[in-house]
Amino acid sequence: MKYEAVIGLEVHAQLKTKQKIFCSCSTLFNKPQNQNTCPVCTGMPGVLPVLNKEAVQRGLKAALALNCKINKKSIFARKNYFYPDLPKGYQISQYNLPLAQDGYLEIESDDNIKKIRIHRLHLEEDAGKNIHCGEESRLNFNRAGVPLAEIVTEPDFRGALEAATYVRELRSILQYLDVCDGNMEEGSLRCDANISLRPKGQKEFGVKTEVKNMNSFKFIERAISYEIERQTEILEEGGRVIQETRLWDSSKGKTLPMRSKEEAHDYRYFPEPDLRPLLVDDVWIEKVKSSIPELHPEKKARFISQYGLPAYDADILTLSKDLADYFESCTKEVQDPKMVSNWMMTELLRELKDKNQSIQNCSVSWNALAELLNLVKKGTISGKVGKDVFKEMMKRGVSASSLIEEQGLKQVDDKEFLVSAIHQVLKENPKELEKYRGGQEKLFGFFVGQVMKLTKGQANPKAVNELLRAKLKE
Amino acid sequence: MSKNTLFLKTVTELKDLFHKGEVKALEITQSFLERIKETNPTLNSFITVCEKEALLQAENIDLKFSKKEKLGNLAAIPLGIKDILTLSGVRTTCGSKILENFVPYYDATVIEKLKKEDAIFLGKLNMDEFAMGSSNENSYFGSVKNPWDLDYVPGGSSGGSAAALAAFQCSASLGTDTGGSIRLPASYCGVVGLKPTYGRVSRFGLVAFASSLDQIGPFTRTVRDCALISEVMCGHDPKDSTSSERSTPSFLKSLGKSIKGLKIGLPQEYFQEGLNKEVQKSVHNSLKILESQGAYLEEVSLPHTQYGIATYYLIATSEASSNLARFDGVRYGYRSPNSKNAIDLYFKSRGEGFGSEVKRRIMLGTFALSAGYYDAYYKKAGQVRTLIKKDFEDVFKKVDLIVTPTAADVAFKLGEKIQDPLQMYLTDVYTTSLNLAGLPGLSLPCGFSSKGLPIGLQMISPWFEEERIFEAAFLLESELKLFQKGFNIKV
Amino acid sequence: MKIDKNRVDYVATLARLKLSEEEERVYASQLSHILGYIETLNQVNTEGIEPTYNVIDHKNIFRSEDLKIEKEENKSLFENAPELKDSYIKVPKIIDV
Repeated sequence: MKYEAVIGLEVHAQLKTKQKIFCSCSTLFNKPQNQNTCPVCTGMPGVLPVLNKEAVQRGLKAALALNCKINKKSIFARKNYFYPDLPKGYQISQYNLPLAQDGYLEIESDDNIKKIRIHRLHLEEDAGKNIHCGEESRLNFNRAGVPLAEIVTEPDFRGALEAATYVRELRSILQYLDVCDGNMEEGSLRCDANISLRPKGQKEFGVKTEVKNMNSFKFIERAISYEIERQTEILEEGGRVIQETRLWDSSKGKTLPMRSKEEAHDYRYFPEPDLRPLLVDDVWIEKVKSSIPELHPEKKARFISQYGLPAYDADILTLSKDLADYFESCTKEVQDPKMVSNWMMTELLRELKDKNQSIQNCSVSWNALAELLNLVKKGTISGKVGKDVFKEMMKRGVSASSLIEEQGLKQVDDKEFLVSAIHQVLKENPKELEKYRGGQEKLFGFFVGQVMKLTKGQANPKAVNELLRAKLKE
Repeated sequence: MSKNTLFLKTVTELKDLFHKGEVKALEITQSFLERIKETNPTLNSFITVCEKEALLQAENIDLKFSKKEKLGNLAAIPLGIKDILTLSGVRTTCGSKILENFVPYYDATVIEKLKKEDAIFLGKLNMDEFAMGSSNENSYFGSVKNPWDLDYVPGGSSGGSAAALAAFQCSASLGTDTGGSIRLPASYCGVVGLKPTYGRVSRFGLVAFASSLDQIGPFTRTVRDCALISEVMCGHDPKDSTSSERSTPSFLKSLGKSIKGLKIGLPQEYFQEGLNKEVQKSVHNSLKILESQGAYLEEVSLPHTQYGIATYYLIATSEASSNLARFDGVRYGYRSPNSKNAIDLYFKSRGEGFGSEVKRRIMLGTFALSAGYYDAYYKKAGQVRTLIKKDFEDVFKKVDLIVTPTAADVAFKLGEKIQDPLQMYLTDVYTTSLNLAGLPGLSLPCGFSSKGLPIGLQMISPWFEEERIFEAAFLLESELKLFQKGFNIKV
Repeated sequence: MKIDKNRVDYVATLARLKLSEEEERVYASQLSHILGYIETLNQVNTEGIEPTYNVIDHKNIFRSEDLKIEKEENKSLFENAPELKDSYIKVPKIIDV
């Protein structure tokens, strides 16, 4: 039988606020343990939560960018369960009436545009962190109370790649909005997947499993693929999938079941009596709407039409707002979008990847790159030298002009110097010269290359061409 | 005046004596501390006495006074605090083993406000564990005795607060009221107790029992004292999202106002069978006085009254089951010594740390919220709560004030109801509806039974209109002239 | 509603309460009794009635991030922790349920 995978995603995005959602503790990452805590976020007796407006603001921005309907009145609820990293014994979340619902996000799938429906977006607080150390566990509550938006899709994905594409697109939007920094390793963007299979053509859903702990795009794709394969095998052998939560183990490349008990999912949600209902009026919605910038899909389309970039390049360059801004600023100075795009797509992105840098902390700023490209355009240095210069700029963070000055890399078109170099090349390669003269004109390029090599790339190729041609005609 | 009798004074009298320079804060404080030493072994009303801190506070106030520095409105007034409100640096036990040694380093907002007015804190008062009880027999620190008869309960859950005040161990005290926990003990101990409108007083620093019902209020010997202290306690607090932003009127200005033309509603459901005859007589006597002062009496109906207790116990225990989840032995409080792993630590710390009534209510509340039962219990209770609230809204379209007995009977004997939780719950039959609706209510002494036990009368005003209560209560108190009888206690 | 021992067990597990056999027996009978009383609510017709879960004004209350609050060390946590290790709260090992 042919099976079809049905996948829904739950993404937890940490909202980029300065303070926690219900108290004024800092949300800064990497602080000493339990330093970013107070009686409220550690669940001391008698203390009360007060909602951080900024968290709502950012949640709204994300919801509107995801085309959601905003609920004029939403309700915070308590999700009750015991875990040592959950200080109050309940998580303040939203249940029956979330901040927003019924949105969608368009992604590209097999060269088609596919609409992924967003079921809901709600606000909630994060839990703390526990570290296991042999016979004991240690608790750090710095993260407890950090604001999260949980974004839940409808079961609209049919494959692992689609799911990963969605998360990539979602992350891009959240970053564009400055709502979430999208760092998956640090856990500021986390993704869980609900996966089930059904015979192709069947309407009813099969039994699903929930897969957690996929902390990169690569793992999302791998974990879902693995889980689809695993379930397919079970079904094909006539077995039954058990409804359970499974953890992705990246070292084993497998999903493994988490032990769970019957009562583990009886969360006893009820409206949080310590908070008032959250009211959002049209004025507020309009204000947030007007603050939403151009997002990835529109920007990509514009890059194609305005700058004549190929779709692939436009897609990559607009995935992050910072990269897109870099491109546009640089292009304004260089006046050659194709050239900027090529350099960014090859040299810049490769170097960033090698050096594990992001565009925000890249050692070559957009104006430094623009200076370099303008020097290449003017012919002050050759393209090849330019690439070496760029590598050096990435390494040392210095400007192109100072590097060229320092290393004497300026392109040479001094006729006497070039002629003597050509002489030397012809003298050192008598066989090739003979063949050339015998009609193998392809060898012209060989001589140019040798001249460039001899001059360490500094010779102006155009001048070399002219002089060499004249010389060979002699 | 001999300082030994300073403890017999009201807040208003002490304030006057201190401001005239006739007595020092230290003399006042010492007088109360001595009284506590003498009577607490009998009554068991204090869990923690802050002798050193109180004396230090008093000395500071005296120093300020001698330097003619500006002093607060409650300067030198010694208060007792129910041990469910946090006072920084002093243990807050909630009457429970699980918090026996818990010391908070943050003040409840009401404490902060009282500190600003230079009140003195004598210590923390006994109570039913986590405010769960109507007799103060559920405390880990032992039962409190009723100063009018030591064989009787003081009422609960703020039993320590009522008993300590009635026994002159403090000049006023703070309690909390979730279903009657201020008004019932006030009634049983013959003192004034106010539960303000929900949202009037910040709950920050009040260890939550049922968040949508809890409210802090004062116990005092007179209506004037009550108005004075309430004015300090009320007001919006940015730390409590459920505290109201409405401004606090001057309650003291209500005192002495005429009640001519005031329409008083008497809900028929509160005057039916089950009401003790002596209580009924006292309340009627008071109603006659109010009528003679120009008020109109009118019979009204609150038809859902009989469902108040059932509704209350579902909502209160459901919220409590969640509010008490934080007591798990992980970050503070009692931790069972022999746990193998974290799960075991939860089960044992909570199983050993909570008393039996608290566990019973956590069980009831957890059940009411659990999968498959939520709609039939918790949601149903929420719907009936709407109807109970609507009953009051309808009645307050016709009348300005409602008067009822505070309780159907006077105090009962220690041990009398402890074996039957349901009978105990039914003690709160006249008080819980107000919490469900969020209304203010005051209990005022209105007489004594033939055995000499106090009887309380309850006044209920519309939301945020406590002034009406103060107007009527002050007049009634002045006509009843029961104040001197307060000295006839048995300790 | 009659609460049997299984239900008591389930609820006590949800609530993380270790109960003795005697407690389980007593709670089963007391809770059944109390729920019997509570079921008088079934006499009330609540069709179409919105439940009331709190009685506060419907108006937003927010905390603003612009307000700088002096942060003190969380003394209540560090002073009350049953076991502390390098400013971590220590518990016996967590095994997943």
